[in-house]
Amino acid sequence: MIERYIKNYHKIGPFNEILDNDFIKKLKQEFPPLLARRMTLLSLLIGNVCKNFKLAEEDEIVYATTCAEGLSLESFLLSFPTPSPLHFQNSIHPSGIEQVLIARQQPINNLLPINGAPQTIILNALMAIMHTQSEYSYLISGEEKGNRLSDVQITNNCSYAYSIEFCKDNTDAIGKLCWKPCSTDSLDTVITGDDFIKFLDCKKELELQHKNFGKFKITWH
Amino acid sequence: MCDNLSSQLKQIIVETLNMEEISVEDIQDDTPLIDSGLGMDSIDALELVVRVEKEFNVKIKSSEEAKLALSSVRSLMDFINKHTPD
Amino acid sequence: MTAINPLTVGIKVCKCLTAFGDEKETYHNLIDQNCALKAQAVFGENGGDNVPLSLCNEMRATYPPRWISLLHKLLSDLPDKPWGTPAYPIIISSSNFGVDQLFAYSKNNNSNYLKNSTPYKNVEWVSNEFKLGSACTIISHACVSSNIALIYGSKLLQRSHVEEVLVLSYDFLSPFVTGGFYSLKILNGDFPKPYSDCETGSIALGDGAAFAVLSRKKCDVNIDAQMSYNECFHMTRNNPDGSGFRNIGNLILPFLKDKKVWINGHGTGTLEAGKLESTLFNEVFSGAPLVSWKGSLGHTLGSCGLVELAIAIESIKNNQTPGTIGSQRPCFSDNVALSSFKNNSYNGVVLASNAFGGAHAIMLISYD
Repeated sequence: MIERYIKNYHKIGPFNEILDNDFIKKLKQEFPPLLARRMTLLSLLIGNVCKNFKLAEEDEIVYATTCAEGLSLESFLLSFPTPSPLHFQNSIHPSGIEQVLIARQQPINNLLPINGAPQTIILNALMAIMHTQSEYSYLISGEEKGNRLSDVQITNNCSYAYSIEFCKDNTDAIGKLCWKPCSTDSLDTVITGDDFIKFLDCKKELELQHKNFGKFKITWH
Repeated sequence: MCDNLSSQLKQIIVETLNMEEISVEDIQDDTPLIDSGLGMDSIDALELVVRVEKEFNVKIKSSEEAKLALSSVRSLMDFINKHTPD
Repeated sequence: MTAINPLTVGIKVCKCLTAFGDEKETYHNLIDQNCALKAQAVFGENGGDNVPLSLCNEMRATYPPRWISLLHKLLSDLPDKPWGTPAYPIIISSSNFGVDQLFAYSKNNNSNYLKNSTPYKNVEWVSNEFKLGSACTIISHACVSSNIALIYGSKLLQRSHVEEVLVLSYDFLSPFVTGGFYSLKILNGDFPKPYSDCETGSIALGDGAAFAVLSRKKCDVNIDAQMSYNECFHMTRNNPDGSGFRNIGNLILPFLKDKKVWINGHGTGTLEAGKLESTLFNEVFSGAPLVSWKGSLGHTLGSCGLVELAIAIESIKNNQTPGTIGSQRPCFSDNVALSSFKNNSYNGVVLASNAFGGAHAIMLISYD
């Protein structure tokens, strides 16, 4: 059984509607104006849920998103035949977390950006956390609501972000993540990224199991 | 004519770069555009290049050429005047 | 800054595919100083300025995708194992996945293109095509994607229930990505001259794909150490003080011990990054010869780390390392090897890649 302790978590959203300008302006206030003016919605949401973390270079980040910078992707495609360098750059994974780290000038040794289907991205992300070697690791995830491409599931249909701080030490822990790598159960129990953020609100025990990923259990102190 | 081009470029800068706190009047012809002065960076410069190329039918070939052409509004005017087809 | 577990693994198999062909064909063409790059329209069938690209086949939007036959060619040599099960997990990495299909969809709304339009849909489609299991992690970290995939694969091997790991990486060009680099003004009409001290810099892009099978057991070629570092200074620029290159070099240095190494660098042809890489590596690695093959193959984006690992292994097998094709003196530093050289007296290779956001990845391979 492999364990990591949950020290803290933050979340914002989910928002099913398009966010209004005042709300976005408030998110931008956490960054230098020259950088904030062109940060993507996803990066602003990620910045919000990471602002209280004291990241160190030796820490590890697992960054998980299925649709990533959907709005930039849409804008970049629309910009042809004169492609936009800004939207190109912002559409390249893992731009969301990088925009935040760059705005804060926060170098980090290990950044693992993963992608995945909605049904398995959480399992992949939790497994990646269980393979971190540093004392502190962070699972940072989010999606932004797209426009025209959300109808064909290329961009997401809601916006949110969350971050979870994990530690190998249980001092001041608020919860625990356990992992059994192998599973003989035949039935998969999964959770989508969009549902996982709702789970963080209710702080109930969560068990996930998948033949490829083993068994995960989140409990709260 | 020079004044027109200068105003036009300054308007493009404010629009393209989404600079809410800066107006056309704040930008002098010799204000450095990149790093100091306006504080644009290389990506801002490239966004500006896309717009300038489209509006004035000129071509900026490389990132080095972009850096020189966009050092100020005046250098950009010089570039456009030199490269605009007759 | 301290490196933790060096993540030592054996490389059981490593193969690649470029515009020249497989890793053997690619290697021999590099030794013969051939250039795979051709000046072609940046937007493919949609025209545009000519830029240097190396393509395995024509850059056209098709369904099935143009690259599926290329993946069949690459994976025809895949060892027969139950890939995609918990004991034999797969990591698929790319900076593109099926973005050519997404671009095509955005132009003509043909729903066939949606099957590969997102990274996970692309991976599911590829997994079905090659009958791979679903124990798969998808990694995308721009031009260090395959390096990060190797690092993660090595972490998975730390678990006793994992026997071997398949790392697969592929990047096939499309107007989406050629247009993007063209808009950054670094992909232009000039052919790249990695590490050359010129007035203007330019890159080229290339199709590339590769796979590696990693083993816990010692093999003829092994990864002795591998690590990453993210400067997070600027999205498209490295910190001009060179700290990114110095840091990543210093992370791997303790593992070199008394090894005599040559270096395969990132060397895309951009001026600033090329100068920083060659001068800092000259300093950190005390003048070890530095080569880049992107002047011939183009930059194969997310797959470049794994593609160039396959070529480095061929170089070891043949006792000769291809030089830095396309470049000329003066270079930014004296360590740049323009011509091919015998590598019998060396017993290690350092391979380095870097990406947007100032992401760096490095590995040390050694062999008997």
